[in-house]
Parts: sequence; C-alpha cells; structure tokens
Amino acid sequence: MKKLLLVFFLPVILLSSTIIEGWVTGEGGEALEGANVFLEGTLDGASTDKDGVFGFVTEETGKYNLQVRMMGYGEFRKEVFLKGETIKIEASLKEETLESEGVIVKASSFTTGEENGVTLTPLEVLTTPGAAADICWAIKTFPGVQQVEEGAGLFVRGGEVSETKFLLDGANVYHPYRYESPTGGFFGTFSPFLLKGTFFSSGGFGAEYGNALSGVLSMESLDLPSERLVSLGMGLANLSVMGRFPLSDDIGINFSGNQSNTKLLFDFNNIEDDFTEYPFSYDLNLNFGWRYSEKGLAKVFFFKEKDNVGVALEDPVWGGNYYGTEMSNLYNLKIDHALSDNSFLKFNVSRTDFEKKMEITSGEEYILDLKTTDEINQTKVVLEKNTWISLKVGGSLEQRKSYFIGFTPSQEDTLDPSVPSNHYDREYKSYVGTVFMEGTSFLPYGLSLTSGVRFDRDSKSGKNALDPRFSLSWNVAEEITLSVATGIFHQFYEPWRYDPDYGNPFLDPMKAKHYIVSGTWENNGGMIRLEGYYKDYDKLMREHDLLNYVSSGNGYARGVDFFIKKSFEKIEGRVAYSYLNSRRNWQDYPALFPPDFDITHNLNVILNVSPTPDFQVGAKYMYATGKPFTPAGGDFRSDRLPSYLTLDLSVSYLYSFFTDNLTVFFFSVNNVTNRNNILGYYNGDRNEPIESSYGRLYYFGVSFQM
Amino acid sequence: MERVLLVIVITLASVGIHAEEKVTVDKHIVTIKAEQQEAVDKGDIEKLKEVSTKLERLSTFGDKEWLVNYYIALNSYRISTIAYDDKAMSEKYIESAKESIQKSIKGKDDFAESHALFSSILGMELGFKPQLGMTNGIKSGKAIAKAKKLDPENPRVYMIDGTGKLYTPKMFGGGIDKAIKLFEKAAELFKKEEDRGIYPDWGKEEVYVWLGNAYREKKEDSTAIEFYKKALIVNPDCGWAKEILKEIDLK
Repeated sequence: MKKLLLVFFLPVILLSSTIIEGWVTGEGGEALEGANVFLEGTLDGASTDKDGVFGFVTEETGKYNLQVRMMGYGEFRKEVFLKGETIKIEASLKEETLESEGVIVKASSFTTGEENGVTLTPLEVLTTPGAAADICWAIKTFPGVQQVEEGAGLFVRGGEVSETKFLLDGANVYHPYRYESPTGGFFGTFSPFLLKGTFFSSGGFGAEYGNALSGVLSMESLDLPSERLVSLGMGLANLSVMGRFPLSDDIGINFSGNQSNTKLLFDFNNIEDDFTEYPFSYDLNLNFGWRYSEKGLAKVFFFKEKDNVGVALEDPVWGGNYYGTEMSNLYNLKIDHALSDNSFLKFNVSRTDFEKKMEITSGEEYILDLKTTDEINQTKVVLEKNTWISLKVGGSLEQRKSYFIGFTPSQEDTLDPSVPSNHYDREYKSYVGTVFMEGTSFLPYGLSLTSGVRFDRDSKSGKNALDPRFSLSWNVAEEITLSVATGIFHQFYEPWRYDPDYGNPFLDPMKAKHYIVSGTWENNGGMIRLEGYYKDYDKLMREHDLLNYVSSGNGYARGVDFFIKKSFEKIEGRVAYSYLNSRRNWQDYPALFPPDFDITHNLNVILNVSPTPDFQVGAKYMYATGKPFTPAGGDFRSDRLPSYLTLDLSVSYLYSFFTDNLTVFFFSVNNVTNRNNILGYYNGDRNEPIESSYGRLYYFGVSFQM
Repeated sequence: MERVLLVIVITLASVGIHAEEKVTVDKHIVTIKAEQQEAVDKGDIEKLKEVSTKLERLSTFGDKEWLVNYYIALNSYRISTIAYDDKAMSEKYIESAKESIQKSIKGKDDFAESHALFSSILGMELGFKPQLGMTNGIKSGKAIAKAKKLDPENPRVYMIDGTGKLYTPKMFGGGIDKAIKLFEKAAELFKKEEDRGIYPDWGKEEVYVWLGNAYREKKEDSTAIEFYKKALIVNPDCGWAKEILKEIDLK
C-alpha cells in the first residue's frame, strides 16, 4: 500500500513543490529579523534574515494557512494555495502592547492608543511621592501639565482645566474630580485600583477623541480577574476594601469601596484649618465581566461616589460658611467583540447621574443656594479593521440634561449679602452627535501616517464642528523616533451657556489648532523626549455687556516639554520640565494677557530608591512659576505670585505575615520643608496673602492583601 | 472503475496521513526535546532560538498543544537564563516564557510540570521587576504548591521549589538550608526517574549544580565543587557545571 502510494504521488510531489518567499516588516516599515514564517500544521518554514527576507520550499499542496510569528508582535496569517507556483508574501506585523495588570499612563502621544509614550506602571502611580495614589496627581508630574492649583485639575499646555476630557471605558466623564471647584477639584474621581489602563495625551490626539481643546485622559476598567484577591487598607484618612473574584473561567467580579475622612489627618498634623465640615467622601465600585465567547468580552461597570465639605470663608470684608456636597453614579455597559481575525467592534452605552448642592451662608442668611443635576446618556460604536491600513470608524450620540434650581449672587466674585441674587429654575437639554474616521498607514523608510477627521453637531447651539487631524512619525533609527502632528480641535460649551438670559444661544464652539514637533529616544530602561508645540486658540468666550458672552476671544500657547526617565537596578528617576508661554484675550481681558494657567516654568523631579526589594524610598521635588495676578493699584495681570515649591517624601515597606499575604506599610511626608506657598492675594493686596493650608503633612497607613 | 479506485486510494491515503500526523507530533517532541537539551548543555542561544521556531510550528499541528507550549516556555526560560547578562533580551524572553506557560496551563490545568515551571518563571521575572516583589512571590508560591499537590513525587517540582527558596530571604520563608533539603529530596527522586518519552525529564544534573550553588552561598566551596563534579558525572556535557568549575579555578 505504501509503495503504491509513493509511486502514485511521487510525480505530483515533484511537480508541485512550491517556493514561498517574501519579507516581513514592522508597522513602521522596518525589516524584522528572526520572524518565524511557516505553514500551519507543518514544520515547513523559514526565519527571516536581517533584511526581513525569507524563502522556503514546501512539498505540500492545496490550501494552507501561512503564519508569521515574532515575539512582541501580533500574529500574521494568510491563506495560500500551494500548486507549484511561487508565492510572494509581504507581511506587516503589528507591535503588541504589553499587557499590564494595572495603570499605564502614556504621556503626549501622537496617534491614538498604541503609540509608544511615557509609561508609568501601577506601582509607580502608587509610589509617586506626594501623589496620594491619585491618577490625576500622578499625571501632573508629567511634562505638559501645569501646576496651577493645589489639586487634581489637569491644566494642559496653556489650556484651561475644562479643556481636558475624561473617558472611562469609552463613556464621557463630565465630573472627573472630587470636591469640584472652578480649577478642577481636589482628587480624581476614580482610584487607580479600579483601572487596567490609562491613556493620556497632552495634545495632537486622534479623531476618536473630540469636544476637547487641549488634552485627553482615557481610562479603562479592570478585565476579568485571574485569581481571587482581597485587600484591606487603612490610613490616617482612608479606609478601603477591594476584592477580585473569578467566578469561573469566563465570569468574574471586581469590587471596591473606599471611604475617606480627613478629620484625623488634620488633627494629627495639628493643622489649623477652616473646615466646618471635614472633607468626607466614599465610593463604591462593582465591575462585572463576562467572556461570552472566544470572540468577546462584556463588562458592566457601576460606580457611585459621594463627597461633602464645609469651609469657613474668611474674606477681609465679610465672613461666611460654604457647604458643598456631590453625588455621582456611573453605569456603563461595554462590549468588545472580534468580528474576524483583524476586525473588532467596540460598543458601549452609559448613563451618568450627577448632583451637586452648594450653599454659602452668612449667619442665618443664605447668600448662595444652588442645586445642579446633570444626566448624561451616551451610546458609542467603534469599528476597527487592521489590514495594510489600520482603519477606525465610529460614531456616538450623547444626550445631556442639566437642571439648576436655587439662587446665586448676581455679581460673580462678590459674596456680599447686600448684593441682589439671580434665581434659577431651569432645565437644559442637548444632544451631541459625532462621527469619526481615522486611518494609519505604513510608508517606506520607516514612516507612518495617521490621518483622521471628525464631525460633531451640537443640538443646543445648532453648530457643527469639523476637525481634521494628522500625524506623521518617522523611525529614524531603532531607538529614535521623530514625529509631527497637527489638527483642529473644537469644544462646545455646557448647555446652560446657550441660555439667552445667562449666556448666548449663538456661541460658536471654541477652536484650537495644534502644531507639535517631537523627538523621542528610547532604549531599555531609559527614555528622553523633547517636544515643541504651538497652539492657536480662536472663538474663545468674551464677556459682553448686552449679549452676556460672545465668541470673539482668541489666544495662543507655545512651549517646550522635556522628559527623561531612567531606571537602574535599585534606583529609578524621572525629570519633567515644561516651558510655557500663553496669552489669551477672553473673559473680561482688555487684550492679550497671561491667564492664570500661564505657568512659565514647571519642573518635577522624582527619585525612587529600593535598597532591597521590600523597601522603597521616594522623593519628589516640584517647582512652578507663580500665577499671574493683578496687583492692587497696578496694571492688569502685571505681576506674579511667588513660585510654588514642594518637596515630598514617601517610604514603603513590604512584609509577609503568612503565605499569600502581602502587607505594605507606608509613610509619607508632604511639603517636608514646611514651605508657606502663596495661592493668591485678596484684592491683589500683597499684605493679604491667601496661604496654602498644607504645611508639612504626615501620613501613614497599611494595606493588607491576601 | 479506475476513478473509483483512485478516489478510494486518495481517501485512504489522507486518512493514513492524518493517523501518521498524530504520531509525528509525539515523534517531533522527542526529537526537539533532545535538541533542546543539547543546546542547553552548550549554552547555545542560536540553537535554542531554532528550537523555538520548530516548537512554534509544532504548536499548530492541533495535537498536544499544551505540551508543546510547555516546551516553548521552557525554551524561552532557558534562553532567558543563558542570556542573563543581556538584560533586555533576557527580560523579553522571560515575558515570552510567562505567556507560553500560561497558555499551557490554560490548555491543561493538572500538569504539575507546567505549574512548577510557571513558579520558576515568576521568580525570574522578579529579578527584572523588583516592584512585582510580593505579588509574584505569592503567585510563585501558589504555583509550586499546586505542582506538589498534583505530583508529589516529581523531582523537578522540588528542585524548582529549592531554587525559589535559595533566593528568598529568610523572613519571607526562604533560606539556604531549606533550599538544600529540597535539592536533596529532588536528587533522590531524580535517581528513580527514567526516560519519560514526550514528557519532561530534564534536571538530573542541574539539581547537583543547584546543590553546588547553595553550598557556595554558604561559603563551603569544597562541598560545592564535589556537587559540580557530580553534575558532570550524571551529564558529562553539562556546560553550566563546567563553566562554574572553570570560574572557581580561575580564582
């Protein structure tokens, strides 16, 4: 039988040996050496040489799958028909983003998502001294984010705080800060423990992100837990519990609860404060994941947060009390589904309920009493296809309802009880519809081009925005990448700004043009990045006597960001420096003047040392030029506050009491030198400084994991 | 009639080929396993990379994928240890080893060898990312415990447990003496182990190198040398033992 077969097949085999040859490149067009090219189910194949070229002969015939595999890259697969004719293959492999178990923060990236950027591992967020395990605080240590206030607010490259947009699992997050204030808030709403990854861009971001003039922070929640984990934490101002429970291979739950009560913290540190009610907050999170098939994962994310604070207001003219409370709920369903080997569908539907109450009282009298509710419903669909060009097409529809009831003093900044009040009882409803498209293609010589366009329509103003975006990057050498990016960015106002009584129904969306040039050198354990940018602002809001506001403001921001990161065996350090020059003619400015967030120099130096694996000491030094202000009797915005400086230290020690246990003891000192930072002057009078209430601050705690 | 015969012959032939393929996966594993051991003895990274490409191809045969993945992981782990001085490369391969062993465990959860190797890989990863410290330590401990439960008589499980203990500080439950006890137990079990065909049977000589290493840590060089020599008796090609002996000689 065997002999017969052999005789029978021999001529066929001889006739039909097939040559397969070709070359393998990375996304940037660079040749990949050592890629394994072979026919599925056989040992027939070859490895690519240093030019990425391969060639082999096979005696198989018929239909086969040709695979290309290379460590650190995604798989390439192509069906081939073997019939004796030479087959030529051109394979481009996509670099895989390393999966990480915690937060990855990427700074200033020029395309969406997978671009190499500045990354922070989860523990780096937690061990960034002075960052209080807060994502926003950790991001503030990156270049391009200016230190404007003592808080979490992300002021990006000469942009105002509301110009940085937040997303969670694709859902727009309009209230990303706790203890909200006009400059953001004191902490970020989401703790890093809830997140798998975070993408941060300080400009030139892709067409998927819009309705944002300056920056984007996109967070992704945890996926299915792989093993059971329970963790308890306790600190001077914090109690937390967290659990990850795999229910089966395909179903799992992550939950967490945090409570933060700062009274003990202030008492322990003997800090004289003006709190009538100490900042108190709690949050609960439930994240349910289900891998319904090999092809997809569905996630239901629920998050609830509540916080309140009361402060005695000490104005030289009058005294009063402020009380504020906030509550927010976020529900999000997200489905990631693979339609085929190279196409994906991402879908999410979300709802946010937010409620905020503010009161200012003077004695028995209410000067301000305002309740705001915000309801946001959003649906988003994104389709991705990766072939010779990687294509992303998507759209979203968002409905936003805001409701205001109560009264505020009629003159902003004047809380004098004798000033008359404005009364509100209004509901605003708006829809924003978006479509976008973006493609990345790889060109010869290590070039890659991303171009995209996005269209938004806002129902409240009836205005449209069309944003083209481009970025080109060039892989000059293995370790060096040069990029340029440009684009138009629009941002609509919150619905109430279009109210004819308090705003103007005909406001145009604000507009910015970004021009960015960047060079990155990266090798194992080290990175240097230098970026220059110019941003041209237009259609900014200006105050107007008759129309309240008009869209005739403008401005610019230009600057240089520098970042260097290097880790050695036991030491890891990074330095971020930003130079910024920003001018705006907006609000009540008579001409182009430096806004509050024009911080000329901003420097962060961070050093972490672990003499032994279980012991770590970290230090952070931060310097920022003082904010511009108008001195009493002086010219408009002609002076600056003293520089803002802090030195923070942190120490952590790991210990295991029994198998499977991890206990972390941590201790930190913020503002070690007890510097008295000045946050402003009452009425621009240098004799009436507004001082920071954060002198030297000690904090300690323990986290217990099993 | 001739046509019909042709169809029958072709059908039979393809059935025959399929039946043969099943055998070939096993056959290939045995051959590649031997090549792998030879490359490890010689410390030949290029050869190990070749073994990797072969194993990768073998993993698409649709048979015993989990076992092939085990060998892929072992191969990457070997490259990582041999290339240890090239941090970037070593780290890349240990990450790849981790991915492959996780695939293997996903394919077959009750194979003691893969849990033991996983434990070892986590320990190695720790060397590159000290910040993973405790999390990896815990995972590694869990993996080795599981391996012991699945196969309490497996010498590699005890050897790997020993290597973990050797580099774990005493306060976290490690220590040289604990490690030596485990290596001794492993050495006893290795004596009983025979050729295991397609299944892993590496480590017979390595256990003596580890014993040597442990005694060197204890500053008992003469005992250590005895063990290195013993390793060479078990496997005269053991490059690792030769290299260490040369290094000691030079001092």
